[in-house]
Amino acid sequence: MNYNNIIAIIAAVLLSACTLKVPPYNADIGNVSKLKKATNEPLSLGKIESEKKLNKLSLRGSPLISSVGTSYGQYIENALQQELELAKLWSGVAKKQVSGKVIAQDIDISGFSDGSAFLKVNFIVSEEGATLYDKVITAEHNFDSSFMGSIAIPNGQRSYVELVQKLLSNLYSDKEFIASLK
Amino acid sequence: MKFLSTFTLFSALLLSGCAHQISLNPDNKNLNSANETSTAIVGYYISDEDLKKQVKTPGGGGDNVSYKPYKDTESALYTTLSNKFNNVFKLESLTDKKFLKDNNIKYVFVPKITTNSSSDSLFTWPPTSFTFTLNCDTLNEEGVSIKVIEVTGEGKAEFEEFKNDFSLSAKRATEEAFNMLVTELDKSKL
Repeated sequence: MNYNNIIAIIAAVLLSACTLKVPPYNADIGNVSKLKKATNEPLSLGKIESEKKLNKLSLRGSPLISSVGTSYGQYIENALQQELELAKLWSGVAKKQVSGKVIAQDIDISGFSDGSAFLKVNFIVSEEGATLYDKVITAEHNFDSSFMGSIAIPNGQRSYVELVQKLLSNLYSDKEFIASLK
Repeated sequence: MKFLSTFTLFSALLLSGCAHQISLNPDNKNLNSANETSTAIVGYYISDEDLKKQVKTPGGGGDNVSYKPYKDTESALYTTLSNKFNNVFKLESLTDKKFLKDNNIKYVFVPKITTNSSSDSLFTWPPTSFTFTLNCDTLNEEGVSIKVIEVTGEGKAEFEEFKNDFSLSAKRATEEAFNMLVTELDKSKL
């Protein structure tokens, strides 16, 4: 066993307590294209709520928090807004509004080779008090993990971006959601 | 306690002999708008093979970093083109002339990306220096190349800066390259 491996094992054992933030969202242009094909009507964005207990994920003892505002709901709001803006569909005054609530989420990097993450959000589309759409959308994401914390933790951190990309892709692929936009 | 935090952070960055994943995507809010917008509708084409391509370049201490240059920066390309042109389409094929005609697409951009990275650190893996070269071939409606734009962005980040973002030098390089691209698009009068 060489010097680097010894240090890396010590690092894996000692890694803890540093609060990490999810990387900024990277808009998925496949998602943007789906939105552009779906509708021309502008949408506004309401709150995506998330309870306090859901706002801190744990990666082998290291807390992982949202990099937007103080909650993961705000991170998902920001992701939605980015993709709506790129599709030229976002309007702060549009009557039709998308909002929601984070129901459950987790990132699991306990495995030595595979990591997994899931996210469930209840999305609502409403217009002047009438609910047009109300459904829980789920996303799952698998990624490479490692025995080494120095590999597994950053991979888990980055996985949240792809998890949200998949969540929004699943939302935009939902026929009832698309119907509610028209 | 401070020593423990520093040690923990240092530990997180230590070597392991593997490729560490980073992301190249810049914050789209930092991408410049064009001085003169164009009424043209444009498209861009990135093959599925390129979107899946995973690249490995050197990090610090003999380690490598790994990333997907086309997938990571696709939204930056889309944003940059949107900041210049009236509308932007992602093309599934370069030979679908019907799609080009139906959507009044005047120009198609085909990017080629070359990257490199390095670090002067013996103990931490994130690259302190990153280079991102974007070569954009511009095709007209007939698929004929009418202009090639090539820009290179360079990003640097030191330990104290990248402790919260291991991809920082790469993001700085891509941000510079895409801001150079919009400048070149302005000059090109497309």
